[in-house]
Amino acid sequence: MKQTYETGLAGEETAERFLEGKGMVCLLRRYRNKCGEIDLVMKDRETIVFVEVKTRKKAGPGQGLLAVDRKKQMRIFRAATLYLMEEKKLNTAVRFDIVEIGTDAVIHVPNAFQPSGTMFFH
Amino acid sequence: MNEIMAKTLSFGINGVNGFPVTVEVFGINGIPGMEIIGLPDTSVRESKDRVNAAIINSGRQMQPRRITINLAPADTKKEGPSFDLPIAIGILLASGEMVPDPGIRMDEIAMFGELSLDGLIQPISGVLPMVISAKEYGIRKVIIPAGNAKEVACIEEMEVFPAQRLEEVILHLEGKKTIQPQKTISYDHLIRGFHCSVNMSQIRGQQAARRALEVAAAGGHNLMMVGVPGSGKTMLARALPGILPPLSFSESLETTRLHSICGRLSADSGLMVERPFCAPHHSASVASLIGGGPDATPGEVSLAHNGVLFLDELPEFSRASLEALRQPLEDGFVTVSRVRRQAVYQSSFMLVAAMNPCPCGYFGSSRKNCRCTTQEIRRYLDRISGPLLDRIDIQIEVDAVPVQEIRNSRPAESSETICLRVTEARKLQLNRYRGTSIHCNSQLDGKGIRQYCILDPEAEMLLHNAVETMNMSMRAYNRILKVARTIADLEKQEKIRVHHIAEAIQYRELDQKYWR
Repeated sequence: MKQTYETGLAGEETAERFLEGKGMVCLLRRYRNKCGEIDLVMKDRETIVFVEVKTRKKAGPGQGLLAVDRKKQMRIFRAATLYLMEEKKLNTAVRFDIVEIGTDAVIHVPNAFQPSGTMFFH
Repeated sequence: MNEIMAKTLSFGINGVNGFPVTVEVFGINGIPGMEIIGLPDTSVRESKDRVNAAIINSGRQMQPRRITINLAPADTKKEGPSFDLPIAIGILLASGEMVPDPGIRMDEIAMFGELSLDGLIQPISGVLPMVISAKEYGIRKVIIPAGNAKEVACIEEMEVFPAQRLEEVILHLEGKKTIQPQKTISYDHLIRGFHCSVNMSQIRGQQAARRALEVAAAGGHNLMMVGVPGSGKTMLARALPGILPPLSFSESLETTRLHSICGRLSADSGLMVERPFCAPHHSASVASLIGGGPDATPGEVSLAHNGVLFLDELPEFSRASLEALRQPLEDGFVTVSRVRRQAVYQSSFMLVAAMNPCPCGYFGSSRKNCRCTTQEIRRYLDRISGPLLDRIDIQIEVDAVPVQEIRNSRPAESSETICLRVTEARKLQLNRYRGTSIHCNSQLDGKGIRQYCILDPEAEMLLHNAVETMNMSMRAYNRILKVARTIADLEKQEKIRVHHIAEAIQYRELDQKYWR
């Protein structure tokens, strides 16, 4: 159990460094409120980016992305809405990304899902 | 750029008429999502998913924004996938992904088209009525799916841009690569290369039926054929469109319009040059014949507008379906009222009915015995009501052609030759009825008959004798006069002579034989 926690933490650190390398700025790590939790809250120029990080030690590429199912998406979405309300930032551009930390590659999917249900993999 | 608004123009369909729809797209920062408002139906609401994929597959970005799409006017229901294209262009404009060429004004270009996920523009139904309405509203430029291009090729004073892909439209509006406007094809050119599928020259024997068909075509009279199975009733009926005068441009527009909203046109068919021939099966419901469904779509009577409605096995149709035909037969249009909408569709067609003389089919045949009882025959014939029969001017009996006659007879007169005579007769009628609402003899009413059907004394005597001996009704009398008028027109004679009347009386003899 402890090992899983550490794996996740290490993965989130890798993801943060990876995204910072792409020019984003980290606002919050492991943000948590009563609606749910968000692994990373970053800023990509004017856009606030909510990032879900999935670390996989064994499974093949893409398995981590698939683990973010609709239920998980809704939890992130609700947590993000609450965050934006508290910060009074409802009028800023917002994006939801997924980062998968695999054994030998990092996959970053910008704008991976939207509250309306459409998925963008590009 | 925080919030941006874009507008594109499209058209919706209500009945046979289009109405302008402004697609307003409002993009704002915030939690991303897309909402379509303005009374969209499911296919319009689903368009956001098609649009998303199509934009990405056209090499453009889909910015994560909070997007509201309004289809104005907000109080009319919008249907169908034709708004995909204007919505996609609106989103691209609103998100700044696309900047239109300064020379292009978005409110001067109407666009319609369904998008597929890979960015292709798919053909839609109803392009012709929408383009016509666009023209009426003063729009001179339209972007349409390439698959619908032929349908509107005859519309003049319109710049029609047929597009295959969303990408082409984007580049066109950005002024980077112009789509070649569709060349206008003249209607005369279209109609010249046209031949009817069944030619009268293929029909052997049947001299009487051929003549009746010609008279029916010349006066626009409804026709009923009674005959044994296999006597050629269906083939005769199918040859009728070929001897009717060619569709005029305005007639073709009317008919193509109706077929367009039903999605009955194939991609490569342009304006219809062939008169429609509709042969609904006898299980047809009232709604499928007259028009109906939740959206009040046109029925077979409207699809047969300016053409032929062929009802084979007439007594097998349900009573309700047959009686429902009376109003369109009388008025030339139908009013279809449904919960969601009401529409008036033109339905001026020639009715051709075919039936067997009895349930087994061989009553009165010279070569096979009929197995039916008198009551059975009576019941069968009585399924056709008097009022419907009253609207059928010409009734003939068709007998099977003997084998020797089929093998020995020379090729008969072709449809083209007959069509010339019919067209001449129709021209005569058009001239005579100029200034009235009547186009052909079948539409004459009592007053018109007295005014235009002038008999010479001999003819008058024959008619009066016939009426007395055959105990005919006033209605039958009028119909004989109308048909005699047409026969005289075929001979280009102003006065109705005795042999015209004699022939017209023949077309009524079935009244005496079957429905007495």
